[in-house]
Amino acid sequence: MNKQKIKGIVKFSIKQNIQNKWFVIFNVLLLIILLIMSNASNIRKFLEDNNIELFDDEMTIQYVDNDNLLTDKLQKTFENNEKVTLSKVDKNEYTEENIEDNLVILEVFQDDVEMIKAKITSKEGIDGTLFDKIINILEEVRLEEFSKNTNIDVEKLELLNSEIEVERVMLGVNADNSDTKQIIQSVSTIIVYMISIFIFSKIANEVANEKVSKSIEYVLTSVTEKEYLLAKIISVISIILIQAIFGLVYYMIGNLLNSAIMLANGVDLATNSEAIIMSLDKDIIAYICVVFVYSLLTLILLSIIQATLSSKTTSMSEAGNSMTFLMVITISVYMLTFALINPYINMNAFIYILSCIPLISNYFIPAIMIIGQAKVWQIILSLVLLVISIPITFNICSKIFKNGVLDYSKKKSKKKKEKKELTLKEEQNLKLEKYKFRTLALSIGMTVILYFVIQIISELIFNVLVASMLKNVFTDIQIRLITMAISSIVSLILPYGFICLYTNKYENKVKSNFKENGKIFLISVFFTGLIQIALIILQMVSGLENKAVESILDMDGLNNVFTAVLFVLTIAIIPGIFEEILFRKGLINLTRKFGDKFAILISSIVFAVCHLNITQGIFAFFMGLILGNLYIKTGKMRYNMLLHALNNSYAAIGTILVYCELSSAYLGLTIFALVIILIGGVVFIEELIRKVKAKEKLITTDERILPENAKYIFSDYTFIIGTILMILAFFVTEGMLKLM
Amino acid sequence: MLELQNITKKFENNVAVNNISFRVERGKIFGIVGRNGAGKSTTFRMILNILEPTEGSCLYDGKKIDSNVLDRIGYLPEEGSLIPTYTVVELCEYYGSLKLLNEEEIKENLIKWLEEFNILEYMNKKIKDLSKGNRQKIQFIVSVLHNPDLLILDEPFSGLDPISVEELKKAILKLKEEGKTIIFSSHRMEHIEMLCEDIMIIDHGNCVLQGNLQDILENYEINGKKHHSLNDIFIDKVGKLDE
Repeated sequence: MNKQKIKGIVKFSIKQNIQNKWFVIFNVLLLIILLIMSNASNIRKFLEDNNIELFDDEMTIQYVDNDNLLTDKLQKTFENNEKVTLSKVDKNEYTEENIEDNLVILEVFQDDVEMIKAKITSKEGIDGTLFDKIINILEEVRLEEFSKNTNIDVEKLELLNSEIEVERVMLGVNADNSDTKQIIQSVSTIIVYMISIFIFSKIANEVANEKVSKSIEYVLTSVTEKEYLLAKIISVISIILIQAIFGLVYYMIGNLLNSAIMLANGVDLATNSEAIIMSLDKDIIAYICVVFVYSLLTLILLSIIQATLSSKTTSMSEAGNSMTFLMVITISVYMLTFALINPYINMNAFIYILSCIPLISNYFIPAIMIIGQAKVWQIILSLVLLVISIPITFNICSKIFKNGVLDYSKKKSKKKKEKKELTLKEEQNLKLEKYKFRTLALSIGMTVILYFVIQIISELIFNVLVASMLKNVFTDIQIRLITMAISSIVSLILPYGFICLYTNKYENKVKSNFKENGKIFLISVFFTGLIQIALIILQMVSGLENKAVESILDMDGLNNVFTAVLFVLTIAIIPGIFEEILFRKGLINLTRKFGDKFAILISSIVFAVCHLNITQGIFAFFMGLILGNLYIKTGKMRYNMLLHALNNSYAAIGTILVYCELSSAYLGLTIFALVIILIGGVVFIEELIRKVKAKEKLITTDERILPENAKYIFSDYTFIIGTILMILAFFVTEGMLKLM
Repeated sequence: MLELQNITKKFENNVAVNNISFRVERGKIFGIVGRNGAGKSTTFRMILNILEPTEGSCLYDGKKIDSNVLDRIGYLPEEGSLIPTYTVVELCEYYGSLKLLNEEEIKENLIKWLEEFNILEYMNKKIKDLSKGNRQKIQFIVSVLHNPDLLILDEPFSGLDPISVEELKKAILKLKEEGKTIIFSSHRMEHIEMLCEDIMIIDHGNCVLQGNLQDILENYEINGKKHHSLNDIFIDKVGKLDE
């Protein structure tokens, strides 16, 4: 590699960065800040001498002490304090309106159980030290009262209060100075993190800038990519070192200034500096060196990776995004350090291995050193690995860098399998189909996700809101029903609104003929009845209980008319209306363009899944088929809404009747339902006979159920995420139901 | 002397350059003519080592082109390589240092060339404040700053007004007299006719016509007639391929 060229690039880059107005501004600010920080005590003294009050910390303590418990102590504690004024009063006369600033009211009274009780009132928070002093006095008084009461000495009582003294010896580890080391590690982590952000952004910006202006192509005709990469990294690290040196210089200037002022005021400096040197023993210095070396090497490694990542970007905005990857890694490793390395966890082989890996070792090794469990071989091994990884990464990344930086195409084409050669037109059509299905999968997936999320959120919100607003007007059950009702409406309507964005208006070609529609309605009732009966038989035979339905219907207070009405509304009417709007009108209109049968199928599947448990789900699926078919055949919502509401009402009203022990009425209701089902059955058989006679096809088979290319639905990511979420929710609900 | 032997470049989906060979002697100007996307820039990139040829080799004075050789080659890229936020001086310092020039040499050469083009006043101007034509001139200066032996110019005349074209032409001819080897590409025939001795017409990566310019102009037949302009010859040759 040509050293001169690298030097040339480095020199130029450093010059560009230092002769930059932002660099100057930053350094001026840094100088000011460091000067202020190192002279903080002098500044404070200056303000005090000139009577400039920065903080208004005068306080008045009014105390109510009718048993004369702490008057003496209060006066003794605050007698020399100019900022605190004491005054004894008979009672606390202050309320929210008339309490003044800087006023504390302390009330103390004797208590049979607690000895004394106290109350401190103020307008806002009060100074921490003042508060502590008051608490200390109160503690003393309490101990004295206890002592009087129990005849035990105050000293023995204090022993009870204090922690047990335990001598802790760890023979296998060296945990000296762990507090100082902890501080060093925390501070250095923050500093290194800020530096790494700076490095990432600088490299990302410069590389992207040169790539976008195409200058890098020219540069690579004069230098190799390795020389360029090396020069970039050296220049960035150099800038940081230069900045660090400047910072140190400012700090030293600040300290000198501080010492000069203190000398001028006649303060003895010698003792101060001795103290500082004493605290830096060999152990700590070694620790600081380790942290520094690891941080530097890791920063170099990260810079190489960042430059390579930036070479893949094609615009300045992407350059910013390319930083997030490494930043996320850095933070994750930091969190991992906290989780894995603390005195409460045993070191095991897994952690030892992890701590040798570059990019992880710079956090793990110092942390392990703090808890005193770092072995020498570990440090050496991880250091060696870190050092080796730098040239290896450099070689690999420089190749990627060269390719990336000369590539201006947005996306990398993956290796294509041997595909059938499509004509251009076919390809376009395929793309269009895929797009249509993607949108479909997206909208369905999002609908389901929205449904669940809104349901959860609205339950949470309305539970709190409605409960608090209506607590005094309605009973608990009524409030629960109202909450359920509102949540249902909201969680069904909002996804419907979402679907409408994706649905084109569908022209309904069905001619509405009341007689025909009525027939279809009754046939649907018949089938619904069949399914319900089948379900009941199944439950009786297998002994399975429908826990989900039971948990909803298990309510008290149904003998109250208002509650009963609410009950029917929430369980039957509202689902009947709004579930139909979402699952039939919304979903079917959305998917109708792929075929009616497909639409019914999809809407039934989603409907089933949204019930979140198997027993209800299967029933819901078949219901969905019936209701979907009803909607499509009649073209109007009223029929399927009616059917759904009727179906649910049977369960709801039935529950009410059973609860009110009106079993005869319940029997009547069941008979009524069976009669309607029977009528439906008759209509069905009539239609069947008529169709057979007319030799019409019983079921239209001219339409495919699943359209071509439906496989693209399943490959869409929202669909996959939605499915995973649903499966999770499924298991959770099933689990919860099992527990009940 | 630059020599390309059977240079081919294949990308994933297509063959950008297919079996090109030519030779340019010292002190000659060689012109490459072609439509947009014919493969001219790709050929140049392979000479300059930015792209690896799939087959074939490029030799300069009989040696493979490595970084030492590249220091003696100057390049004017078609899409430019100027960094907008730098001034002219800063840019030349940067690029000059890449070719191992020191600061004085850079400044001297820069001033000399700026005077040549009568734009000395732009020395401290930022690139983004220059017009396209002036930027092109700066781009040219950057490519000759280090006094290269071989000059590769990819569409050097684009964006220049007629006076600037004359200035650039003068500069190229002067460089030729100093013994430099020059290759340039264009799709403006009048520029090629102005300057080149040998030319090559390239289309869809293939060389369709190659040789001495004068010979071609005198002997190329279209419909039984000779002595056509290069423009007509080009349209005739390349147009035929489309059929």
